[in-house]
Amino acid sequence: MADPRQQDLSDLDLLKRVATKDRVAFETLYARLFPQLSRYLTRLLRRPELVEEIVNDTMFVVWEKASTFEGRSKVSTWVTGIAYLKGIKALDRMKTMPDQQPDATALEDLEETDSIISRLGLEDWIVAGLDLISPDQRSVVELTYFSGYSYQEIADIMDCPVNTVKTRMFHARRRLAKLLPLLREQKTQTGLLSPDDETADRH
Amino acid sequence: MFRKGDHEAVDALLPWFVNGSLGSREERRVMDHLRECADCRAERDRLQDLQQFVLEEAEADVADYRFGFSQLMQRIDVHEANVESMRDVHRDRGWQRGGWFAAAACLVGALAFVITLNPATDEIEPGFRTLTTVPVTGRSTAAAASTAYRLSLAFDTPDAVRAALIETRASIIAGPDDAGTYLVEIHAPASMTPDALIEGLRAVEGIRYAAFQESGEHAGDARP
Repeated sequence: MADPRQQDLSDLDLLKRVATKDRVAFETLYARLFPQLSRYLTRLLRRPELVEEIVNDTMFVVWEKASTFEGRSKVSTWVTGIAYLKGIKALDRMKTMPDQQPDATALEDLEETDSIISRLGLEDWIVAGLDLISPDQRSVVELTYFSGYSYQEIADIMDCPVNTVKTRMFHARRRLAKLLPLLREQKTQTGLLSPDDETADRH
Repeated sequence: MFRKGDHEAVDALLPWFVNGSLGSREERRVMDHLRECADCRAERDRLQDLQQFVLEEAEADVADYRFGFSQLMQRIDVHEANVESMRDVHRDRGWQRGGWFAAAACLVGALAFVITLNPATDEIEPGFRTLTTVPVTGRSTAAAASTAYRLSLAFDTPDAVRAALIETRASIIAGPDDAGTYLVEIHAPASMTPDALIEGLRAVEGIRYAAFQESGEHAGDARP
């Protein structure tokens, strides 16, 4: 059972305890990281049935290698990096890597999809759009917008140069470019945004 | 008026401006540019919408962690029990004697190499200097002075030795077949003769049968 008294401990404190094979600390760390890892791997793998297995593969490494963590990055960055590698290996094994070229047909269809969007909902299209980009591009998008990592942290997680991170983001944005204006339009229509909403002061 | 190069550089930074992770110097650079560039302001707005969408989607229920955690702890328990068991096997069989020690140590050492990793993933761990790279390092060292053999192995006690294979991620090429044999790949020191390897493997407790795989032969076709 995760110990409530350990909730205030930092990830690093917990990891140091895990290095001594403290199972209570390990459960606390597991519980803390589980939502983020689950979410990230769900988006990366697109195979919900594999998520738990890969989360556990990741945390097994954390259990085994906790003593080797040198603190040069955040614990969550280190663990997410392990999860990324495990996830990519799983995808390689399944040979389900989508083509690096986007599904052009699906994206082009967006120009004529007013009725489809109204039927399925724009959100489904955004999800579909995210599914159409490559795992590496999807990983960058998730790590940026969901996890809030900097591009340097993402480079550490994905073990690639910073420019590669930016390139992957560039390609992901380009492929989602048709969807994003529609998202804003929908928000305007639903009254969430005023058409005259001046966003200059927004960060 | 901003320079074209600046526009592209700022555009590339926009996702991280939106998620608030830029350093102060880059953040200032982006904000200065946004004051002058309507296109980038519009793109910033779109990226903010994307971030909002991603965050809202994430608010969906996440499964309870406890089931997965219990599964993991069972796996860890098995792993630690097997590690202990393999240690006991080594101790009890008097590994200090003769060529059998060399062969058995070769088996354990070879099985410890993560052969099932594909070459690309062998490079992943060096990117994280914090991770132990013993399997990768050991493999690269062994690869320089080792010979890869494919063998058919069958076990008396599948739980003990097979568990060791799984735990050490030896390369299971195929199997088990109806006879319970596995086709595995093992890396042995180049100085070790094939006969010595086979003799050593057959002396390991739990291994009932060991034979080199002939090309075209399937696991289980060979006879003990």
